[in-house]
Amino acid sequence: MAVATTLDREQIASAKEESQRSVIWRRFRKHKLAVVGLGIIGTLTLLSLTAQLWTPYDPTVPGFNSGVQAFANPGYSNPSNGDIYIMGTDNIGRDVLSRLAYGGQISLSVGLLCTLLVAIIGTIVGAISGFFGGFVDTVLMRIVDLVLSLPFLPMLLALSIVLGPGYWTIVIILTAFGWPGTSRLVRGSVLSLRNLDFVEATRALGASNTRIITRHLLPNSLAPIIVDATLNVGGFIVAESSVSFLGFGISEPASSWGNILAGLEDVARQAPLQLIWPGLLIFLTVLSINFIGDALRDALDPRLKL
Amino acid sequence: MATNANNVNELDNREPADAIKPSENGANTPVQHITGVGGGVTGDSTDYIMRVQNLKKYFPVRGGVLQRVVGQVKAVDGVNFDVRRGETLGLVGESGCGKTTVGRTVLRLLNPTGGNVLFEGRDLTTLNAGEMKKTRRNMQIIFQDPYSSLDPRVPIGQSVGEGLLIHGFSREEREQTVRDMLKRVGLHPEHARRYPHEFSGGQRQRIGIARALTMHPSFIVADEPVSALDVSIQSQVLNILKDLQQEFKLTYLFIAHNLSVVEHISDRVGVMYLGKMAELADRDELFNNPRHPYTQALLSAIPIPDPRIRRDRIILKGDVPSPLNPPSGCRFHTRCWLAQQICSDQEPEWRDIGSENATAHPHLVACHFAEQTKVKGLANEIKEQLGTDTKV
Repeated sequence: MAVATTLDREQIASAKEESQRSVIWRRFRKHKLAVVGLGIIGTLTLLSLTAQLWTPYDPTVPGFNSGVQAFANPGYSNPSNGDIYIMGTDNIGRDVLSRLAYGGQISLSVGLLCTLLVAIIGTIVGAISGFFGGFVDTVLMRIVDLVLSLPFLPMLLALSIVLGPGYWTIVIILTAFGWPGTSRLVRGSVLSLRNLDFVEATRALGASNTRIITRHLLPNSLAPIIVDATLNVGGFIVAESSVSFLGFGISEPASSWGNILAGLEDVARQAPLQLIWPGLLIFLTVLSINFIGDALRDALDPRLKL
Repeated sequence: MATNANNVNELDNREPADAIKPSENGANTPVQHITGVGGGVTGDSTDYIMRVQNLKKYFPVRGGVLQRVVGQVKAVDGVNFDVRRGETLGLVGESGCGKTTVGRTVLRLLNPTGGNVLFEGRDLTTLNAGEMKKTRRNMQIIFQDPYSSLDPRVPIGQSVGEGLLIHGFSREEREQTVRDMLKRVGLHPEHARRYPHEFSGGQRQRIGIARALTMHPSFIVADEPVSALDVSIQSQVLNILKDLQQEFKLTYLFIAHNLSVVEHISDRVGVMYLGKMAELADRDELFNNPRHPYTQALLSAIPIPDPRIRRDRIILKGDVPSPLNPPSGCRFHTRCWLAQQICSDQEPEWRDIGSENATAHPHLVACHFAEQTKVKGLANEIKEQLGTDTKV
């Protein structure tokens, strides 16, 4: 009986004129963890973006008379003026909560922006390379090999000397080193699809190459692209921290989740909690994005029954 | 089959003014002299929809560190044939003989290495991209594999209507045509929103047929359209193809390796071996009076569904030689039981040896000894044993 009602509901749903977008949203919602993930990412993004409005302290200025007592002491209240540090302060007395909120602006935007740029560039290069093959393919893939063979750290040093440390330097560097992997992935997918009969059929109907690539090859390559992108988000957030740690990205006193982690490494033994906060946020972000990615991939694949 | 060019034109009343007009008379095409052995009596008034002249398609083989071209697979190596308007020309041959490549190349889905393909009197090999796009409306293809021939991410209604979209038809026209076409191949119009994986192999094949027919083409390459289907579904799809042929005055180039299917559906049959045409004649003429030794061997291999019957099969020795390095002279000489010195020295001419039946079309064959290879009633023997005829 239960089966019958489900079927009925599905039939009613499919009989209704439903836009593509609402179908995808309906299928996406069936992945509960992804909905939770979307909530977490949404909350984190909102809190980070509005950090200026609600954070109690300036994240870059050490608090008055805090020092050692507040360090690693969540909920510390300053007896002289009643200031409360919900997550305590770091080793030089800056409010951890404020630093995390401001840091989220950097970490989340670097992670998401780089992922987006890498996915776009990688997809375009990979699709062109895989579809046209021959000389074009050879040239593009040799460029990819070249970029992949460059040692990351020395190049990073050189580039940040040219560009100067800062937010956009990080975005440019991470994107420049990120796209070749994605483009190889997309190329492989396009290569495996382009000789299938439905591509030939579309060509026989008179379709242009652009139409074949954008309407048939890329939609069918969506699964690996999405999975790759979700994995990249975490990678870029972590990579940002290592770049910042070396002093070529976001530098003190400004904060990002990465450089909060990096800055605390010598005091980790005394205050493990201060390491856990930024780590937890990175972990939650990456996990949420992965769930969202999984759900999106499944929701976009009409072959899967959800 | 009717061979009336006007009917074909009137059929598609949506055809824009710039669409390709069929040549009034195939024999008047300027390249007539090239054909030589193209088939058909010189100066006849047969209406050809397609004439294929000395078609060649080589695929380069690359090797070594620098990926230099180290050889060429001669998939199709100088094939001549004509397709009459409204007929079904069957093309048979074993795997790897180049029949699929012929199908793709005459539609210019592959660019030929050499030769000409005249479609409605115009040489496809010389058309630019814009002209080719217009021409594609009139020539379509049906694929063998019903699973890979539909985009899994696109609802079938969109797949069927994509050609109309590409050629600028309005949304209403598209939806109307898609509904009609789906109904025509026995599917519900409401199925348009479903995805390919929701259909069976036979249904998908019919969707593929609907897609090929939405633009009312005049010429269709059917590339083994039933080979991948269950036997029970094969006849259903074959009958749909036959009905549609009458309804839309279609011309088929029907590629297959199943001789019974070919005999069932074809008006004329061409036999290919290793990139060359071995023999081409009317169906009955070819099945009753095969002259090329390869055709004879092929026909003797038709299974007879009666275990008590023992028949002398012509068993060929060895394998098909590599198309990378095909044998000299007649390509069949390495496996032919009649081979003489001349067969390896000299390539046999593609010539008309005349049909048994005076009213029939030419009987073209490429064999030095075609006049002497008459098999005493090979086909008759088969038919006697079957009791009736060999049709499916």
